[in-house]
Amino acid sequence: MAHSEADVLAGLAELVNEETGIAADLVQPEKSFTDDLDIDSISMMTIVVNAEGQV
Amino acid sequence: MRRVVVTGIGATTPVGGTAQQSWENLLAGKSGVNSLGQEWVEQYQLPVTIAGEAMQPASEVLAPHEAKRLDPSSQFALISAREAFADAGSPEVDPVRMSVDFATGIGGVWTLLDAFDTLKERGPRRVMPMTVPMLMPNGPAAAVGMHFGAKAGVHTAVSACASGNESIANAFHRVKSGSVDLAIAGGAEAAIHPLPIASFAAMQALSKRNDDPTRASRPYDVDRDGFVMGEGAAALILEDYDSAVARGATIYAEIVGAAITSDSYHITAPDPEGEGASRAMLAALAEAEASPSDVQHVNAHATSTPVGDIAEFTALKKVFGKNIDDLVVSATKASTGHLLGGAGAIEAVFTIMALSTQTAPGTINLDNQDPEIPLNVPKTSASLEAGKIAISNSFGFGGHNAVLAFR
Repeated sequence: MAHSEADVLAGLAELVNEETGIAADLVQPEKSFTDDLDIDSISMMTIVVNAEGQV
Repeated sequence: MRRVVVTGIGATTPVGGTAQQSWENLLAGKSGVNSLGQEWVEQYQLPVTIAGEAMQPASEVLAPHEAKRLDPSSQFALISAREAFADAGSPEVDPVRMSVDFATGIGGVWTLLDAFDTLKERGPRRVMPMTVPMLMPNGPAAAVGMHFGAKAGVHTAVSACASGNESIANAFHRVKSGSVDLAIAGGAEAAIHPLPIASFAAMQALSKRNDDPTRASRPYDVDRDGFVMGEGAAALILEDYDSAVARGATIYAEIVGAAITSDSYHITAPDPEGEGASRAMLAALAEAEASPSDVQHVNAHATSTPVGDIAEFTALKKVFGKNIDDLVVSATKASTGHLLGGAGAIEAVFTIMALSTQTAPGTINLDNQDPEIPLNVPKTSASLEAGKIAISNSFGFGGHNAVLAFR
């Protein structure tokens, strides 16, 4: 099933919030996970595993 | 050598979400043991269906993203340590002079076994990257150390049910020797999981009084048939006496001695002669420069197993001799169940509260005291004299004995 870009962003923002507590509305396409949101590598990997689980 | 005092306490247990609530419910004679309602009890046909679950779920206290990165044992540890640190007045301390000693007996068993299920059912790509830091036994200590920024060392004693006491003993000696100025010490356990229940049940260690949960944990009673698992954590803030006085801290009690010995007798059974346990009690009193006649209160290990309770009594007789009748003994696992690696820590909190309020908690479920264990075990609260010593015993599989002495 195809997902719109907005759906993907909203889904990703929710995963980021669950893992890190960062407010979902701060997760924006132009933001860097590491430089802007200060997400560490192990949290990034966790977000990736969770995102893959939803594909 | 410095004097070491307790300036903060925290706990989350089957009888309360805080140290104070746990103490009040203990004095009120409440039991934290209940029937387990999880579907796995039925699914695996467990022979034991009761345990002491934490009265306040960790999810009610921690933010979701905090809880997600921590095994339940680390969640309980962090909750109790935060309470203890706040209770001590959130002291300002140089991070390189602050240490953590936080125990667990079993480690992150939920994380380990859930991850194995994920591996089997969904493959290695679904196994979470945080699995190892969540399951490692030093996880609770590391979580507490990270939270408070402790840089003088973060340590985990793993000695089964003596772990909590061993951690507090180690922290006490760090402050006493001057290696650190403040130590956060405690123990945590979250092992109410079908595998530990099945394993403890397989060795006939657990009470099977499934139809009467609140009366299942009954130390010293003739009808005791094993311990009841509990979960939770407790924490103490230990400080150098002079610094605590200088900053105007409230002092609950002083730790005056702590000792660790080993039986080298049997992997699970206590030495029936109580040699190692009595040696630990005497060594703790020697460090306190006290004699057995200075002791008035004992928070006994007393797990409610047929052999364990008698072995501890034999050890107490060796130490106290004819003075044994002067002891006021409390067996608080009757109310809380057995918190395994957290047991020493919660019982240290109860011993400290007993001294600071001059009240020994009563022991519930003691309907017919075993005539082989003629200790003075009040069924309801009993008053204590000021200035006397109280000891708290913990013993663990592996032949570990750890004893703390407070005044």
